[in-house]
Amino acid sequence: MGLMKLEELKQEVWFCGCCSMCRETISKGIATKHAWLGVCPVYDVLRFDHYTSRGRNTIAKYLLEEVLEYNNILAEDVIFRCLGCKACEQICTPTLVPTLKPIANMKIIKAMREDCWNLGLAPKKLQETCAKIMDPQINNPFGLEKDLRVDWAEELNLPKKAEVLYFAGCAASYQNPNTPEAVIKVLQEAEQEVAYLGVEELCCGHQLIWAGDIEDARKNAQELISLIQKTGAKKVIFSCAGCFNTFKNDYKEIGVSVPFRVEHVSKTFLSLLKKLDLKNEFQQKVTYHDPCHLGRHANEYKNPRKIITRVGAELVEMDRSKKESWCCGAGSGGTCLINYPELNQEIRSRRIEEAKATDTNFLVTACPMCLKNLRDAAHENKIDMEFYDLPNLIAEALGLKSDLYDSWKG
Amino acid sequence: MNKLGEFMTRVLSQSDLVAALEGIVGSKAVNDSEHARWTYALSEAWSTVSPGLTDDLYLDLGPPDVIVKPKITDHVIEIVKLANKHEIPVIPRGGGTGNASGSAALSSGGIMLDLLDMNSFIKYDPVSRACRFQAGITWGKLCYELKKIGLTPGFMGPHGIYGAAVGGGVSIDSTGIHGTKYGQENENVQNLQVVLPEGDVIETGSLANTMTDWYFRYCNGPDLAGLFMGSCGTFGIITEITLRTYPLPKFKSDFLYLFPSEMDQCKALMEIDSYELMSDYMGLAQGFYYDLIEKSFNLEPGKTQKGPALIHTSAYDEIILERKNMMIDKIANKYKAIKMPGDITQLGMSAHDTNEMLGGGVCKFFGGMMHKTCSVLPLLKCPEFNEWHYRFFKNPKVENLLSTTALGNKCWSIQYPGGCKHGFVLHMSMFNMDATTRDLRSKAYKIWHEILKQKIEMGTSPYWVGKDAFMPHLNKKFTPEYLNLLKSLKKLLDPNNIMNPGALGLGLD
Repeated sequence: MGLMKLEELKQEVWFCGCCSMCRETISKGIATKHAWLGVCPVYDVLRFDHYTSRGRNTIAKYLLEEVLEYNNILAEDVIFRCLGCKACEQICTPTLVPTLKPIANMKIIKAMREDCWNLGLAPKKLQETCAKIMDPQINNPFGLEKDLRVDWAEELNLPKKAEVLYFAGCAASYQNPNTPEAVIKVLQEAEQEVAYLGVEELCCGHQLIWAGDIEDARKNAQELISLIQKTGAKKVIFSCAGCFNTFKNDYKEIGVSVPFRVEHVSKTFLSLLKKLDLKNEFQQKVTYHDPCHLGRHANEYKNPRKIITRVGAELVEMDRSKKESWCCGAGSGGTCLINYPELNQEIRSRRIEEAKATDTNFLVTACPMCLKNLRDAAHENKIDMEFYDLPNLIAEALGLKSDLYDSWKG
Repeated sequence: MNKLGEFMTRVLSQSDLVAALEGIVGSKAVNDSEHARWTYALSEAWSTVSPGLTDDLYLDLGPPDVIVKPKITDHVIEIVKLANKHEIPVIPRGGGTGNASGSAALSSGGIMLDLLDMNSFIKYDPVSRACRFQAGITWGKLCYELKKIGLTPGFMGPHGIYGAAVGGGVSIDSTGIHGTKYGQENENVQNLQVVLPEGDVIETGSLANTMTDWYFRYCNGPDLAGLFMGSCGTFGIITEITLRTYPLPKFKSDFLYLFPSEMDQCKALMEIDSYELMSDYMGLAQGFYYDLIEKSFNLEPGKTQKGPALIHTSAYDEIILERKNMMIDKIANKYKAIKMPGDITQLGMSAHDTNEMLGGGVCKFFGGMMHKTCSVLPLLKCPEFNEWHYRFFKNPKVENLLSTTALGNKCWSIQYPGGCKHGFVLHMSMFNMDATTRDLRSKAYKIWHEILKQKIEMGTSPYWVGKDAFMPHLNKKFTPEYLNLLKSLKKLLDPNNIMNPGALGLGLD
């Protein structure tokens, strides 16, 4: 049957009382002010119970009892459709006892994916993506040439060794190179030395983990950590929410220890901003989209907001923000974007409409995947907004110039 | 065991059925994948009762053949006509959060109507002070829509489950939050729109008169709304509902009293209720809740007063709230209660928070799957019932099977979380058991039914009859005349026996 991973979580699966909180309900944290009905973005679009955590946990029970078996249809229709946005876990906490923990829905879905992967049931496109990551000549999910990863850094002369290392990640390096460039320029402005792995930088394996390819994810992670260790870095900083959470939380889950500190640039930059001269304050109204992997997964909500106000902008929150934020629809490592483009399009459209409703012209986020996805959504929906990754917003406020990131706003 | 499918002749093949349904609601609103059908086979939330997961269920339950999501009443009409023509069971389902298998399919399958997409808030009528909405609206959405205009439906849904559908609650006589002040859900219903088994649509109450545009229940002859309430869709499918509304109280308070005995507690609550001073309360008897209170307030174990009660009050004016609380204090003092100090909501305690009791990972805290036995009881009879429950749970044969809470106690409790008006209460016992093995689930199921049976024997009345929970025991307790009338009504309204067969014990002959 290949239920090895799910079997390990049998107790957790049976703790789910199928109460429906994770399907659609009000958001508890904001119940006194507003109420939003959606919890699961996938259910919000597809409207059948089996797309919710409640439904998946029911399916898990039937899998464990061998009433159902893993198969291609179940894998493609349900198990790989989850965005991993963790909103279901956020809502899954009654107030009876404040310390009460939610059902570990993310662990359950990851276990089901691992079982499916091991049975060869993962969607074909995802398998192809993982193969690209594991191909030493490519090692990125886009299948692009390895050398292209470092185009943005060519003229920056970054050292290979330093106490702090910047991990750019695949999404930003290939698809949004203005962000890593902005990160480095801001750090240089603050006279902070930072190392960069360059062409040796490997994919963090975020997609491998969310695809259930744990054996490869572990191998990849160990190799990457060994490379980083050779730089002597004591701290690694990330501008990508996905990479950051992979190092911070996911590696631990797959049994890989991280022997250095990890930090998202929102924290790094907040402390640096105190000593930097904001020559060009960003005196505009902006809205902020919480990336799921920085927010609900890594519990970082405050620093990006503090940065936004520190650079002179006025933050206008979307109706669903912070813990109740709505996923952009890319899914973990873009799994939804890759496998279910129509679903992704529908979810991101709903999010961008929410951004539009704030009546601001600027959207800031802290994840290259969210940035690209929401930018595409704005384009599809003919919404006129400018998009900033957090480092780019800071770079602009500092008056730093770069053709690369100036060309990316609209 | 009755198997409905044995006497039904299906003319329509599965693919033709799906195609016909897609022709009515569109292909995105129809699903007959194997995993979808089993997901919708889950017949109860908070329990182990489900086909394929629990052995020896009282009824032969199974997955539906297909799940359909209608959006408008016309969809329901067409689906029912199709089902009638081909004699296929139709099982209406709200949020799927009930505890009585009311929306479970029999093993003969059928068309499951997932009504959650019939969720429009239609309008608020200030003349009638009532709101109209589609039956699949969730309590979360209804409360949200009303809150925007400073209103509340009063009764705010079953405890902690804002994802439950209002129509589902009507179909099982739901009780829950603020029922103490405003009455059960169905006491607030003004009108229903119902699709009858042969596809006709009726409006009840004031709307039965084509010239009337206001909402009221008791006019135009018999109260036909009452026929469909609590009926689990056996006589028709409720598609639209009108509920009374109330201004949203601005001032609220929560406090906890410890009474010397359960009888003192019940008498005091009865007296406080008689003056309509409370919006809600949670009477607690023995069980882990009591331990929770002892630990929260650092009380000496076993030497504290028995009979804790959480009380929630609300008012539109601060002074009125203060006066209400003073009166409650006076009554509580008469019964020698101790009022616990501080803001009890900070301890996660309240009798009104919509998440206070259920929701989310609560089974994790209790260390196992929850089994609840909720039924309506006069408040003053609670101590007698508590005594039986206490003896039952303390029996080592039972207690040893129960899971252990995060506090280290065996997980069972007896409580009465308000829910009804006029001295009646939703009496509930709860136990949690490890549900990871078939054997343990089977044992839990038997214990659950033993309690349900005893409750019926002792004279309690379930508000949720459903299919698997109280019905097997009630069938023996209903008067023959009552049962005959139910059966006659069923035959009259649903000659082809397509509407949720098995619910209320009907349609199995």
